[in-house]
Amino acid sequence: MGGLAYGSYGAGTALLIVGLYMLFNGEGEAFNVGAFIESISPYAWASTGIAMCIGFSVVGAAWGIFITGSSIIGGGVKAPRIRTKNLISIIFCEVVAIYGVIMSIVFSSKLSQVGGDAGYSGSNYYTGYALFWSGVLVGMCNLICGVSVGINGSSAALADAADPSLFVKILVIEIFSSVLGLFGLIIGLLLSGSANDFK
Amino acid sequence: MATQRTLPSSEKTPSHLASPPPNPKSNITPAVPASVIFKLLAFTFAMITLPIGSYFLSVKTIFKGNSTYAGALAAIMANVVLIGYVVVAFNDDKSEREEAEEERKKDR
Repeated sequence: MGGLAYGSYGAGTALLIVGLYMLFNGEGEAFNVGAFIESISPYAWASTGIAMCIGFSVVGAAWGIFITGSSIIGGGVKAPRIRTKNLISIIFCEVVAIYGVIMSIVFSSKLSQVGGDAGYSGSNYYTGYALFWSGVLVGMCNLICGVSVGINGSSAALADAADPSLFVKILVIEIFSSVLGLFGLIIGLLLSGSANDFK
Repeated sequence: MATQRTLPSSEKTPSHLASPPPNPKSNITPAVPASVIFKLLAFTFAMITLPIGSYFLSVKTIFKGNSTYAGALAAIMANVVLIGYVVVAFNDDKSEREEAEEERKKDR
């Protein structure tokens, strides 16, 4: 922490001095965040959004299966009766990854190549931003949903090993956490649905 | 060692560590029955193919290129597979419990 703090103080002071120098010499417009964002191609926004959508969803699902799977195996030491019922949590985690795949397919159906400066039209900017933020939204929702389902599934496996009558009660809570991913999917569909295809 | 207590029975090895009885056939059936694995694999396959397949089948024909509705249909299909697995799992559980009950009655 200490070394990083001194480094960041130094870098911050240097940036402040350079920035103030440029500001007082009439070059303050060099710090134009809007122009920087506009200079990024809409394709870059859209592709980054699609990549984040599927990437974060798969991270969430994998994290959930990792937690749940290790708990099912660990609970199996006490209760060696792994049945169809115990693997429900795995399917719950899988559905999170499938949400990400579906949304990525929907988003990428809006991508097509437009040559030259026509790619920088207003409609294409809108599509690029909409796909980027839909991707972030769906990916983050699915990441948290996957972790939540995974922790619930882990508790379900351990509770089932201790007392089989507890399983249904925890499964109800697991269904609630699996609905979280559905919320992100609905809003992602609405947000990207109003965007036109690239043209 | 101070923490080690010498119980009168500690000279014998615990029952689960003792050498198995001279039985030529040991129990080597896997802990997870094959039907459970096949069910999980079949539902995983359905989970991958059914939503994506329904998306690509319906996007051009039913929804005329509106990918939002086709995506919603795919999400619904994913949930149908999920609910199907839960129903199958609970039916399995119920039949197994009934069998166990009947065996206990027979033993009595």
